[in-house]
Amino acid sequence: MVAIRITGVTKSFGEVPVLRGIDLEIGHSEFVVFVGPSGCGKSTLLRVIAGLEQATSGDIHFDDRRITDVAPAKRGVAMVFQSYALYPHMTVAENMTMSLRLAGVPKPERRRRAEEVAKMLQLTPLLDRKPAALSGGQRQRVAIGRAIVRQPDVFLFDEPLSNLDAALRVETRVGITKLHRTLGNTMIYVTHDQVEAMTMADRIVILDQGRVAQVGTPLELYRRPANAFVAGFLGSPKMNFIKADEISRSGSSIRLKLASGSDIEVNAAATDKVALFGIRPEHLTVANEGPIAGTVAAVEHLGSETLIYVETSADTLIVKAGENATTQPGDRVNLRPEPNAIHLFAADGRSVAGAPNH
Amino acid sequence: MLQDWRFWFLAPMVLALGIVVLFPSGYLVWMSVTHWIVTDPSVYFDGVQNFATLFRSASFASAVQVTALYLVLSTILMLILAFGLALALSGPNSPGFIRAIVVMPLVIPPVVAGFTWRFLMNGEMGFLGAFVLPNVGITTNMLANPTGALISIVIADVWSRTPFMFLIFLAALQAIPRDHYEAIRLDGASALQEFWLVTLPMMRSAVVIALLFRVIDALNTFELIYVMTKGGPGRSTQTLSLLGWKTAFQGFDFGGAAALGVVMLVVTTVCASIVYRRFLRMPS
Repeated sequence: MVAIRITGVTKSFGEVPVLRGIDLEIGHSEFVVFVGPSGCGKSTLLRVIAGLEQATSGDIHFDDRRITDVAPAKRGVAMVFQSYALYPHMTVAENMTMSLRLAGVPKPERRRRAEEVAKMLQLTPLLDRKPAALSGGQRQRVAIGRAIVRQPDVFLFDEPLSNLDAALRVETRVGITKLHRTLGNTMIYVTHDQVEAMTMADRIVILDQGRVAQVGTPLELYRRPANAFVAGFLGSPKMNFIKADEISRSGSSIRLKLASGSDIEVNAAATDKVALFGIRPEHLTVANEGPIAGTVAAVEHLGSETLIYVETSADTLIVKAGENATTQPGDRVNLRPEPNAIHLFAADGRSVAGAPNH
Repeated sequence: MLQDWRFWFLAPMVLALGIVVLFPSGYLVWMSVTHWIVTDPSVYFDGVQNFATLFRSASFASAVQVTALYLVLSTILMLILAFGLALALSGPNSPGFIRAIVVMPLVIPPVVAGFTWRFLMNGEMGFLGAFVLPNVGITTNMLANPTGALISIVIADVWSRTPFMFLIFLAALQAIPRDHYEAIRLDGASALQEFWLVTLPMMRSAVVIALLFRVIDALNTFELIYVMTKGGPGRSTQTLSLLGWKTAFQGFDFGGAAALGVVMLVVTTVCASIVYRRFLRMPS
């Protein structure tokens, strides 16, 4: 259980910068999720923390210990790989206790530790099998078991669920969260799946093009995104964005002309000139009157909710409605945004007024 | 059966195999139990006489010995060289042209390789035999000396056949996922342990396949030795395949040569199936 301090870490592969200056603090026993689109640098950052990649510049501390140049095995980290990286020629028990074998722990003790961890992960009957004889979910648990056996200070997970089917993914997600509560270790988890990020994290670090876009608890990020990238990345379906021009401003009210053709009055104290209007699908309603007009292009009934795709003169907007929505494709509709849930962004994407009351 | 389209796809292949493999093999077995010497007009069934003569002959015993020596020496050298080269050149940054150079001997026909090495080893005008070796204190005429001739053949063979093994190993090395190395590095392995615990076990089937090819290849080597030494001096480089050729086309004893062929066929098949069963078949 250590706290991690990352200061000014950059990483380039040849001429290509992948991390462009990361500053980050991760607390004791915290579960932090790195999330972002592919190529944002999240896996590279994890690998720099593990020591599998050398940072081009910057420093990493575990508590007060500078580990920037420490060998991976001496950092006290264990990693669960996306591919699980189980050694195919060794049994489950041998796989799990490889680190102990390399550390010279005698065989009976290794076996005892393997059995202890196997019990925790329901792997006991599989201890003497080879990985080829296991299902995907079982292999995944062996990979986690291998990490637990090492009793590391920090657990690193590199997209560990992406090779599992949807049902198993949810189950394992819950399992990992429970594991974090039981062990209380510091855990860093990399994923491109914002649902995993939202459900598992104490804090989420959103990365974009090698920089930290925003750090915060899942709900903070969801409710008060620092920029249009974060706003668009978290939430499913993603936030609707409409280009907007400021017409006038008076006190705490701004009048905007939306690209879809109509004007709207927003109660917000924007700090800068507004260029983009953002509203989440769940905060748009189909109404008789509203500032945005369009034609329904498609309707998706998902059971508990309905997604309505509305084509306006500028963009296609998504509305998340209740399960009983009766709208049909081809209907002319008006959309009304919930006034308290509007996000406004400047031309460079910075949030200039979040949805303060939401 | 004739209505099944799969039959018509298989039939030409089975027919071709029958003509070029099954028929000659059967004919070989028949010849091996026949008294058939070209200079002797009487051809008749002779039971196991050809085999009895073969097993009693001194040239067979010496050929077995030479073949075994040549096989073991060249295979060990090839394994070490091919593995070392593959390890050295498997990295993503290793230059492609060096790999190309390593593979080059593979495209040179064994006959050409044999002639080239014979010239190189020649004691009077060869670059190696006449200039390099005498300068390092080896004054023996390599190809005229029994040990020297065998060593020369092993060297030429290793030069010509290592690239094939190198390619197999290179492909196998590059197929080992990077994650496995990283996982074991995190577990605290040294470079040597990495090699011992990940590389070597994960190369196992490649090594076995390479050995299988090698054994078959070595038992069949003919042109290279024929061109370089014709099996001499004396019988010092006369392998089983050379002996077979001599029996058939210098001694004109087709029956005896066929018996030797059958023995080689059996040895090769037994070796191959042991390797296959022991190492390659997936555990059920």
